[in-house]
Amino acid sequence: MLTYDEFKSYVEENILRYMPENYRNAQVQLDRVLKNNGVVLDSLKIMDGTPVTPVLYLNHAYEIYRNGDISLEDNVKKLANDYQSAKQSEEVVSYSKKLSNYTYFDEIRDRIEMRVCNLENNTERLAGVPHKVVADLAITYHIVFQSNDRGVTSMIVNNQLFHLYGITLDQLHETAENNLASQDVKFDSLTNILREKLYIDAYEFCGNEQKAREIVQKELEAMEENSMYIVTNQTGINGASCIMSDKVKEMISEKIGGDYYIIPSSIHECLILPKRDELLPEELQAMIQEVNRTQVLPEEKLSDNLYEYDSKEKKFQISEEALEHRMKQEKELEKKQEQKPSMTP
Amino acid sequence: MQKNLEYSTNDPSRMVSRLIKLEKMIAKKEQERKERRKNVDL
Repeated sequence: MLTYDEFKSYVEENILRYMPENYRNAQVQLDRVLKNNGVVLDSLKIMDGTPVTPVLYLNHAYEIYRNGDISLEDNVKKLANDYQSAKQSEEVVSYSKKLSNYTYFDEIRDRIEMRVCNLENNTERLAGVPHKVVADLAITYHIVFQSNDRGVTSMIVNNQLFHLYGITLDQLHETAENNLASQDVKFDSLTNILREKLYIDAYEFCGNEQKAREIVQKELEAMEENSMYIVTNQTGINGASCIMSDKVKEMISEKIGGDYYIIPSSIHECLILPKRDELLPEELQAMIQEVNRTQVLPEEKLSDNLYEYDSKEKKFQISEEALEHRMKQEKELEKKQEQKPSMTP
Repeated sequence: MQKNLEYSTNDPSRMVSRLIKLEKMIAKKEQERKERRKNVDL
């Protein structure tokens, strides 16, 4: 059994043996890619002189090899096949055209979208890109080239590009905010969202519409309608960023009629809970931390904090800080009332 | 300039499992609090 470093070297030295003749002079390059929350993946690129090349990640390929699911030779062959099918896909062919003008802001203005990540866990990545800080979160900006339910291909606006564009951070943010049209935002009850996702799985499992509906109904029967909501985008990929938009925050408060808590369930979506007496912020925060620890991939985690939106003040805040602020205000009010001279004789 | 294209995905089954887990935890706490209120006259 090869060690991980030996495996990487083996793939680097042998992958071209499984590629067509025209790749014989290509260069294979190993690199490390910094993903969300400081997660680092080992990547492999085959540089053949074309403007767009897919990136293969070796971490997962090694896991498959180590588990004994596939032999070393078959693994390298599979990586070579994966590379070729990605390279020949329509998406990659069309990026080459779309990429030619990406250094001109007017050419990509309509493709800018915002994403949200944890500020503290992404300090290294954020050092090289323009970003806005909101509470303990950071908003970054991305040029989207292709987007559908299967995946989104994009490029982050880094400092180099940002300076080329010659715009301010506020202008970049405003562009992203304006690009987020209301039809791009998905806001629905949790039960409806789950019904949609569970039905696909249930139908694949049993192959019968009626039976699939019954399975879903049974799974969701204990859930109360309209007590929890989800906000995301239409693809459900990196959709938690919708809550960074002022117009989305206001739209939610209009729809549910007031203040609400925001549970950052992942970088892909947020759970929205209308404020009610039965919900205690400290309990919700403990739940967020448990789910992050047990159900969320490290690169998909958004935050361990609970947030809330004050619809009167139009303010988005970490709940703990909002509570401290309210207590401070109450104490000040009490102090003022104590200092007032007594009116009784 | 180096073009660093990123490909992002979201596995629907992972999304469902984290949301169901959160829903169950929240619903349980809410129910407990409602029951307690029924039994205590404040």
